[in-house]
Amino acid sequence: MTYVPYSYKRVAPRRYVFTSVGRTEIKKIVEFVPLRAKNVVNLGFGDLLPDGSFDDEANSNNRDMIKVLATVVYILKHYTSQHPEITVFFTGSTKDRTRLYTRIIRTYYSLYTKEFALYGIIGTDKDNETVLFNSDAELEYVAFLIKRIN
Amino acid sequence: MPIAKKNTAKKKLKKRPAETVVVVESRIAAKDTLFPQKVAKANKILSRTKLPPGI
Repeated sequence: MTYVPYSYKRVAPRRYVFTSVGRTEIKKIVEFVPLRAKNVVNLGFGDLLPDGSFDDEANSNNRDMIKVLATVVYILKHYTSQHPEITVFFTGSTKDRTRLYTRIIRTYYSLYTKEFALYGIIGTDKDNETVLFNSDAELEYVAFLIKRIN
Repeated sequence: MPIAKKNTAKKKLKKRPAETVVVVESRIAAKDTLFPQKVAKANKILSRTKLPPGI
């Protein structure tokens, strides 16, 4: 993902904001929250709505999706450079969105293999398995884990 | 030694002009997660997942 990202601002130790400028301006929030597993954080991402609430299922359709995701990747890079011990967990808010993320990762992952190890979580509701992400494999991933290696 | 006379005169307070404070409050609270459902979902998935070595 070589797109120029939006400039972003760290507003709290685990929280970043930036503004998507497409058909309209939408304030985006990226948040890293510790999970029960040691050194694993969840990457939360969504829109700040005018009433002050958040929406992580919004389909903004602001015609800048790649630039927005590039910005999230840059934020991820920044956060993990400061916390290299951390593994970042992320998944889509819906199955369709997770599939979308899978397609995007498949396209751009080669750009980041030297910096990050990426794992996909596959399985059922009862039993999951973690595998190294394989861009050639047509697997249905439940979620992803990403860890800085360099 | 003369005792200082207590000044009991009332000072006239200067009346300040009324201020209008507009507080724009976001629901962002640094200690809370903005995406509790996502976090719950993540914990649920991870509880059923064997993590690879090194994580």
